[in-house]
Amino acid sequence: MRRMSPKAVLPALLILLAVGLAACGDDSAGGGGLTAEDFKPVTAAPNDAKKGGTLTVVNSADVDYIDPGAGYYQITLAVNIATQRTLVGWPPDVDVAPVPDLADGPANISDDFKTITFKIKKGVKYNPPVNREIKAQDFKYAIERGMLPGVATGYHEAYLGTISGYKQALAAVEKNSSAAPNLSGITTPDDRTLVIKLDKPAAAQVVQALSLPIGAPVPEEYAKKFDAESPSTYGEHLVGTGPYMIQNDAEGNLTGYKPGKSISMVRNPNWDPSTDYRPAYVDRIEVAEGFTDVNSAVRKILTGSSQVNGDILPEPQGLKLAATKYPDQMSLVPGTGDRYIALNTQIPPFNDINVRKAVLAGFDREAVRLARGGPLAGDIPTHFLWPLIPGFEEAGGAKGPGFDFLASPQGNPKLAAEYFRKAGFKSGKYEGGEILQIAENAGVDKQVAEVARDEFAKLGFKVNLREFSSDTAYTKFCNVPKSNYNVCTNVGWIADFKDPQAALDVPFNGEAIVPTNNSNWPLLDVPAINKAMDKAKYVSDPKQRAEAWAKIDKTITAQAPAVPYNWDTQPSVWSSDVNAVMNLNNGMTDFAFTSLKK
Amino acid sequence: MLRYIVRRVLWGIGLLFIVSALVFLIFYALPSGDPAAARAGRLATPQEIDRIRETLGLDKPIYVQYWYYVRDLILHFDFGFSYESNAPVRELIFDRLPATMSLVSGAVILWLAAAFPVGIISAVRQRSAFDRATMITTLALYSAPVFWLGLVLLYLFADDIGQFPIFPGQGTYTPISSGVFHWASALILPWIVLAGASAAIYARYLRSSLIDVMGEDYIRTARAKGLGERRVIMRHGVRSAITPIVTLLGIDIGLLLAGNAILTESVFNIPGVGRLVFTAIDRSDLPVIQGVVLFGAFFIITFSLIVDIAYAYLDPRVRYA
Amino acid sequence: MSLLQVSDLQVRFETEDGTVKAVDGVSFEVDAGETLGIVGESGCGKSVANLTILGLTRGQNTTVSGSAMFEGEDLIATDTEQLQRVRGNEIAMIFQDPLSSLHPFYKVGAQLVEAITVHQDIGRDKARARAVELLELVGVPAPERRVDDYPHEFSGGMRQRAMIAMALANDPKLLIADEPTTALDVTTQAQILQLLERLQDELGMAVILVTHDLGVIAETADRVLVMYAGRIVEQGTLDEIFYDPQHPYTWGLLGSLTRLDRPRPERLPQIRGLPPSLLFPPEGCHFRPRCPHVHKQCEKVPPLESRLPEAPAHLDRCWLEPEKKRSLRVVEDRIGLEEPAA
Repeated sequence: MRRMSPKAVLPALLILLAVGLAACGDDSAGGGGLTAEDFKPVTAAPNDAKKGGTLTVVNSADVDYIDPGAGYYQITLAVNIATQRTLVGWPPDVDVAPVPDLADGPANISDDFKTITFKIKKGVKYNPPVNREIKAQDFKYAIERGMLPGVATGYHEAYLGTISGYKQALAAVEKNSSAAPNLSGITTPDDRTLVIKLDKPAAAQVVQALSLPIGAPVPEEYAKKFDAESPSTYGEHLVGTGPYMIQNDAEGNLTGYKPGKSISMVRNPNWDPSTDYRPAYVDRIEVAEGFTDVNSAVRKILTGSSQVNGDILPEPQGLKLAATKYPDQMSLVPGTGDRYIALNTQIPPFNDINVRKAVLAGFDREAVRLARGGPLAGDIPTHFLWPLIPGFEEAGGAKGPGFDFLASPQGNPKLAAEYFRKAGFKSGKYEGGEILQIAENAGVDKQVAEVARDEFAKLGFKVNLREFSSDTAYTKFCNVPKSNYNVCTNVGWIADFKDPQAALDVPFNGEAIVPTNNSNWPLLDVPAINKAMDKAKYVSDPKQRAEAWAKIDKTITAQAPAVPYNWDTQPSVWSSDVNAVMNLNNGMTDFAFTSLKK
Repeated sequence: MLRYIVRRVLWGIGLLFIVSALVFLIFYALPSGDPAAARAGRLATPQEIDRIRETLGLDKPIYVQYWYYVRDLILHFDFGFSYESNAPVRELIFDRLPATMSLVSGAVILWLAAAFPVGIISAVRQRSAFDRATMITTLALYSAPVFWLGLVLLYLFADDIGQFPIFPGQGTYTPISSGVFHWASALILPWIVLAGASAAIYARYLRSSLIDVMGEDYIRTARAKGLGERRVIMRHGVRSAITPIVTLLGIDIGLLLAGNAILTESVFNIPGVGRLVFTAIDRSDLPVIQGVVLFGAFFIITFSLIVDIAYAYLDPRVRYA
Repeated sequence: MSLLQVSDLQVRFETEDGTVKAVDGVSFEVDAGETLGIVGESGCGKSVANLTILGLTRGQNTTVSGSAMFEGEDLIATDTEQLQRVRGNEIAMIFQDPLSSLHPFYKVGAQLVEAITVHQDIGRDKARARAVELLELVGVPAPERRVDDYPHEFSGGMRQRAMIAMALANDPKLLIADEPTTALDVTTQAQILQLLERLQDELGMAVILVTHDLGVIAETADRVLVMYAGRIVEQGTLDEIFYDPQHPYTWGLLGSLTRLDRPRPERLPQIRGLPPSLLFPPEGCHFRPRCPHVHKQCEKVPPLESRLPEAPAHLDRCWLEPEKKRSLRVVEDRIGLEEPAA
């Protein structure tokens, strides 16, 4: 072997490393024949699970809001599962309807589905410094304060807008935005009884919504002064009833929450395990934030100890590493959502249904999914409702309703040409002007956008792909119909709970289209579909509900409003000394069920 | 001199106002996200977004918003609240500054410690093997992207994911108050990465500066006096060669404290100012962007003033009035 | 025995374009107390020769041969450390531009003190007192105060006085003054030259005065070397050079001299052309391309020798007969180089 002169060594070493790293990075084609089926989630702790230790949650960003009245991100819900018990909740293996948590037994729902009565558990106390026992009034206050502009629960009106007196309460807030309004539909005959009256038969939906952090009690006498400020500072003085609490001082100031840096959760001394289904094995949970390089963070978790991923979703490279080298330290929770490329159905060229069908028929959706991680990322959809959501099977299950334009995952050029000809393009390819495609400018989203652009180009489109930071892409383009985008690339939906309405209503109901913050990205506005949805919303019998929404799903799919390319699975990874338990509802690790091996 | 400093400080304050006004304008002129919509979440109704807009004061005309901002800043040293986390911006920044300062100060010491001997030796032994080798290495170093260099070092030496697990890796930063040893060991790799390119630049800069100086007449005079070569180089050569480097250093430190260490902070997950502003830009969090930019401008202005004052001490020919 | 004896000094610089023969076989001697003037255009090698004596041209690309015997020691062959003991101590040097030759960042006093303490083992206070004394010696007014000034606070003449003071710090036996007055105005020039003369008288040192200006030589030198393109072309006493110059180049220099005792000529005669490139000097006599009296013989190098039986120490490098020279050198009733026929 030729010796290298010393001065050549360093650059040579650098080049070698570059090549070596690049080699790790190529062929992102998933984990060599493995599919999501090979990584089914574990939803129970082992029988010999041990108590103690510190679990570290490796995160890239922060929670959206630490205040349960405002928090909504998946990671925020995961933190809340451990710190904020709600009226009803989701133990790890439950994924159809929430079970009682702070409620003492299932909700009593009236025959007209317009009245919900909860009994409140005894002996549940807030963490210090409040220390007192919870009562029914605390839930009423929690819901009412969500209407304050300084708290602003994002999903408030969408899920709780049917509560009687909602309009009056909104008007009250308009007048006085420093005190929570009285929501007259919620009454508390005594400390242990909470009655919620609705204007419409939406009880099932409201009960589900109360599993979100808005269903956690807030002590009014303590929170009032914080809520009088705008924005509310209750989040900096938070109390809760979970087995864990965010570290605080004697006055209740959170010392364990450093925005963008860390969240430290310790045991809540007032927590009584006999009232809770959570085993709460570990002594301490540390959310460490700021790990922005996904691949090295995943590697760190896999090779380290007592770590799990938080909001970091392993990208193709990390997925492959985990799947092939650490198969026991990874799971894929199915049924967490769907992903699609939205086509703006209101302006040319995609206002022509045949152009849309041609696109769906011709798109190589497998290529798009490959950018997300291939088969490990999930199955390629045949319709919009995704697995494990009631109605999925009724809508045709994995095989789907049988539309020809969604039959081939790799794309069917001949069929695409046929639809293009129907749309008046004799060449069998699109012949019109440029289309505006909006996408994110980083990470996997960017890669997906570029694959999609090539697919559009293949079909004859001239594409103007514009990439922005995620926030800008949404709040200035995709969520603003007036921006006249043609394609919004990386959209999709996750349901807040396993209900078909939660999966389809907002993203495809024409009445849900709003000038800003719009989430109906295809801008699909078909009166028949809108009407059917408004009716199906209040179908309360589970079986009928599933069937009604399955039908709606079919009519949506028939409209070809978007290119669905993935029924998501959510990947989780953990260190070898962790017994990770997945929460099927939230799709993430359940911190209150996860334990350490040593 | 005092008059000069007072004038510079006043000018600096004026500059801060201009900078803050510009940030306001740019934020509204460029296609950045809508903070109210981003804050409201995906299910919010337009009415809710409007309410949030009102709460955040975003419904007011831009000059009114600016006036409120400046007023609170001057009267209460209040930088407002983050749209994103509701936390006071001043606290967010003060919370992050120690990390950035730790990173920057260590890196500065490291890169000077590396650049000085290398720059001096390669200047004195021009075209020697040492000179050629270090010049190639420095070229490689400052061509290496920080992100890449950081990941290479992590994959090589980080004690969790490295091939040779020697140093603490990502996200291991702890404040100096919780132990100097841990603080320093967790910062070794980031220091190296942040110092790398600068060490290379400074070594090359010092080299060429010193080569120029060594051709000056007063170096010949120093030799003609009978001084030893070491003394000629250090007392007469290096003393002159460092003056331009001090300017560079002042500006660099200012910029790094202002957030230019962002890449290193990102790779190693150090909760510093750079990362704070990076996230803030991503989320259209104007108060945080504004606060960091003002702090950054403050550092840059301060350090350029320090440089100018230092210059007067370094070069007696410079006088300010 | 002479104080300094330089024999066959050759200095070559390797450059990217080739070898520059900056000094090509120069020999001369300086006696104690004597003033030797070395004159020539810039680039003729006069400065290089003197810098080489102190080893200041040593470097990777320089080749030096010959010898420079100073008090029994060959300065060309000796090591740098030994040379450092000689520099500024027994042989001191001052330079053309006193502003660029003083370090701009150090006080004049500090630079003087440094020059003293490097060779004398005395305390800082004593060295400082000596510095003040030296400034006084060279005629800097208010030396106690000026010692703490920076060079840029001195005027040009004062700076050169400070340089001289620095050179005198250790009572040198030989002072090499390289164009000491070139950068100064005429009045200051005269003052500096007088100062040098006075100091030489007082201190009894030898001086090598390197200059391009024969006028400067006329006032101070005992003997004169005329250098051209790396070689000595003429050498003799001051009178011999001024009143019986043998080499046409010397005539040219004398012709271009502004003499205060004569009315200003209508036009200042110039030597035509430019000095030759030292990379590729002409064969034979280096002055050949510029000489109006060039002839066949000039293609061979004329030896440096005496061609005048009455003046055996008056040497020159010109093939012409002395008698012929005496007629050729007279231009318009004074010595000069004949203008070429247009």
